[in-house]
Amino acid sequence: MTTASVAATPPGAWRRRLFALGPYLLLAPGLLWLVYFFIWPAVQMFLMSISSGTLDTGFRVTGTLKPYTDALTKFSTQWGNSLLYGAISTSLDFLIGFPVAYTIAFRGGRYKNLLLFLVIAPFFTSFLIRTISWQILLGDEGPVLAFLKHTIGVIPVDFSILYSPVAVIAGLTYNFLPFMILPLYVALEKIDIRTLEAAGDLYANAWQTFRRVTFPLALPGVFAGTILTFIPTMGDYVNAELLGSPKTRMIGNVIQGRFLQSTDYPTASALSFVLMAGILIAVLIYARALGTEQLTG
Amino acid sequence: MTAVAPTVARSGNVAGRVSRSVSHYALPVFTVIAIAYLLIPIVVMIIFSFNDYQGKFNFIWSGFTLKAWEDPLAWPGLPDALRISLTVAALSTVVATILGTMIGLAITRYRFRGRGVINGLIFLPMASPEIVLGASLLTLFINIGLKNGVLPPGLTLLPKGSLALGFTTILIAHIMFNISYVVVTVKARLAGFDRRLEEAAMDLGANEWTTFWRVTFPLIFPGVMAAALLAFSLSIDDFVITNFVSGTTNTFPIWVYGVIRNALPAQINVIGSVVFLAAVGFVAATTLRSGRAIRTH
Amino acid sequence: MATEPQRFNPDLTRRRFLQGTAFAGVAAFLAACTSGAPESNPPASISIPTPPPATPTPAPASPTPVPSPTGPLKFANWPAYIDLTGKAYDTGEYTKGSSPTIEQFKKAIGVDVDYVEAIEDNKTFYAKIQPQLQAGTPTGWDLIVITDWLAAKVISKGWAEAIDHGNVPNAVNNLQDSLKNQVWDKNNDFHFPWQSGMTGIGFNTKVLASAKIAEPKSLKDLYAIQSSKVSFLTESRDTFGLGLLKLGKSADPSSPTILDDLQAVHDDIKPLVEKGLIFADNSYLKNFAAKKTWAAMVWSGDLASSGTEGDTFKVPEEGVMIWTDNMVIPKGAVNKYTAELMINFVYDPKIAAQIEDYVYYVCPVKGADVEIKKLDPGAESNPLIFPTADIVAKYHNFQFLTDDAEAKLDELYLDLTGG
Repeated sequence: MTTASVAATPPGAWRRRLFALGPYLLLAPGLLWLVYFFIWPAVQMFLMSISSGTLDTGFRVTGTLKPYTDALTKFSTQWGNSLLYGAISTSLDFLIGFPVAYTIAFRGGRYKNLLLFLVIAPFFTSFLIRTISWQILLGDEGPVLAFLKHTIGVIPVDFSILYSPVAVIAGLTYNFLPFMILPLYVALEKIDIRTLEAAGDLYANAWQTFRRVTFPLALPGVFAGTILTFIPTMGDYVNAELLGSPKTRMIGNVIQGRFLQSTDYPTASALSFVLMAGILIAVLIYARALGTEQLTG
Repeated sequence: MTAVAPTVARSGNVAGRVSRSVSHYALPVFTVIAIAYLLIPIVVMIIFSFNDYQGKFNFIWSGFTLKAWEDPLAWPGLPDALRISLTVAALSTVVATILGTMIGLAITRYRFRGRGVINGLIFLPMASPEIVLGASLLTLFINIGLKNGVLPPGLTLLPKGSLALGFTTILIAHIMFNISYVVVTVKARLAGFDRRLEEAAMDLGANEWTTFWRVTFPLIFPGVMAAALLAFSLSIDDFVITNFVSGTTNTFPIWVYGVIRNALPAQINVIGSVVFLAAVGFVAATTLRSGRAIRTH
Repeated sequence: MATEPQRFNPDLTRRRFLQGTAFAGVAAFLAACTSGAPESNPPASISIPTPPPATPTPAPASPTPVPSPTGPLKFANWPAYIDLTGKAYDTGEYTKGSSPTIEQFKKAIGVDVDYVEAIEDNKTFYAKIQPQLQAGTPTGWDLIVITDWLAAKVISKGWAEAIDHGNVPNAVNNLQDSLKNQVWDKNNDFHFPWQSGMTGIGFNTKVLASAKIAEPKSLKDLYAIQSSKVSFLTESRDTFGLGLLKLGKSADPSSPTILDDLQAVHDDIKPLVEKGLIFADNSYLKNFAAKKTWAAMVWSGDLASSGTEGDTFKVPEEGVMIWTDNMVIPKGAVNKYTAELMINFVYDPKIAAQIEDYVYYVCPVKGADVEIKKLDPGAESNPLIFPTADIVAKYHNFQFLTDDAEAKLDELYLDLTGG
């Protein structure tokens, strides 16, 4: 970086020289960190995904494609679950989140900040603890079901929600809802309310105003919100683990299990790579479809 | 909830009136319900911290007690886990905030080549599912241990075992995923930054160093603080990535995940409630202060 | 080194609901085991891992200076596997100082103990420590408790520290004869048993009664209960071992048809998974408490030690799995000497009785039956701690599999659990 000649110059010049090098000096430490602990691990994982062997015998990069064929053929249920749960919970988040964001943005008045604060309040407590709370709430003898089973008696005693797909989707929808509301709010908030009034002046009804004016203007928020919800949902395994059963396993559970239980690193690495590539491609296609690619950069 | 004047309102027909009343009443009601949905688990958490439960499982309400609040650390491993969580969060916040702010400054204030690549490098960790980040870091650390594959230069020079899974690897991971969030937050603040203020300082004879500390830094300080808070909260709540790289070291979320397999102590609820109330108090205090500041100006 | 056991909470007696039958059971158990019951000594055709030939010689002949214990001792064990009395038992609050055994050890040795319930199942725990062992770095643990097949594997790879017999006289003298002479570590150079146990059926009588379901007597009955209210074990050897018995197939790992039989077990369980069966480790305790699970495959002591009123362990008509969990000092343990002192400490019959009277597993320590009588009269005839002859006759050992069978088992298990 700095050369010996710099050291010989007086302090003021030295500082100036340092500032000329500025961007690189400023960038270097952080970027090095990312290269060492994000890029390099990704490369390592890629090499692992084309390796054969076991932890006992050692892994060797052989260029085999078996982990990839396994990853793509053996886990159709789990890929299916991930896509299905991801799609359903992202849609639910949108259906719940949009009216909420709309109301806060246009009707929040002096309660705007309070409402926003309440939306992000779940983040102030641990993700795990919130999921455990759902375990309690949805339990077979938890407050909801015990009431329905014993007090009213409308459902059979062996009915359960916990450990079913419904519970997993409920957990996913819940946990990532604020990620949907916030970007939607930010986008809606920017809309000048007079634009909407103008639409009304031009005899657009409420639905037309929404479809032709509000929604298009909110598109960047829709894009950001769905991405921010869909990505973590696809990779999640905690909800499926705590609220689901073997039937509801998602691809995250497989990656987690293969890494942390059966030490089948090559398959797990291949699965991670397919997941990552799938998500990136999906995001690009989605950006193009919504016509918001200029908004992402 | 007070409502600002209805946004879409001109036509006097029945349909118009219906849609008006929908937007007038239904939206606020829906919002209140949605927010209640977001808060239910937190309410459950706080209520059950006072539960006088029998046995090991804090599932079913059986009376009020302050037992858990009087003895909030009364589980083996809990004090250690909290200590490690706080230490990791503090250290990773400091390091990531410094590194991230430097990158943020470089990107917004200098023109240089490779911006696109650097922006991509910042964006990718945020777009990757956590499980992929955790899995790839685990692959790296295992490979370092086994001296397998192509290892990053320099890391192999560290004494054997210094990157064995544990405190150090958790810290490395947390700094890694925090950097991107810091960069994005600081960048957002710098975007509205008036360069003429710096130029004015220089015109008045201040050198770059003085200008930075006297002018630039105070102006971006709120952004840096916001970034640090975000980093701290991301770090203290992280489970997925930490679970991959923690080895036998427990952070609070890892400890919770382990202990809930065969017990459900109310102490978890107590810690969760304390963290929640502290965060709420902090936000309330800063909001009040900034509100007052705005009024006095 | 032994200190007086603390006074026990009189409440303990209410956990004696499982006691039964005759004192004669003890003798029968010992007789059955020492005579080398076929189940407890795996046939020679199975490739049981054996220790590396170059055995690091334990106990050097020359007088060594007495080392001083270091700490804290990092002790990884399974949940519900040590005595928790007083406050801990009444409220479930597991505070430091609530295990008399750990407290007495700390007092006697003067070293802190970091006792962590870190082991959920063998595979998961092994996946955590294997990378470190392979890399030759410390695992972070000084003493771990792992089941036979895994202990054999770890020892055969040279990943266990040799136990200095000079430091563990109690263990050398008091180990039950039936547990000596294991093929994989003939002289106990690397391991001493912590507890033995059975895998069978667990349920809560009250819960079943209120749901109007007959108590399962056999594995067939267990399979017939609505699957979403049942759990099997994540320890695949237990689940598949019992699965073999349920189908009336041999649970002998050396059976020539073992691969097909395992497949049959898988095909038998798969429909239950479709109907909502889950797999649990000790977490079945939580599911029992939440009434999420009505009946399950469980380990013999847990419900007695940590369950609620009405929780029952049942030896299935088809037979039970028998296994032993063993204390092993992983290579690179920082506090090896302290770990040895711990092994020695828990082999004091008094201490063993004290642990036994809480955990309700099958005791590996000679003389514990005499001591437990003083502590808790009647416990000496508890079939969980001292199984009766008719129970012993139903023992099956499904620990040591051929590489093929193990690979097949892993694959089938992962398919069932969706991982």
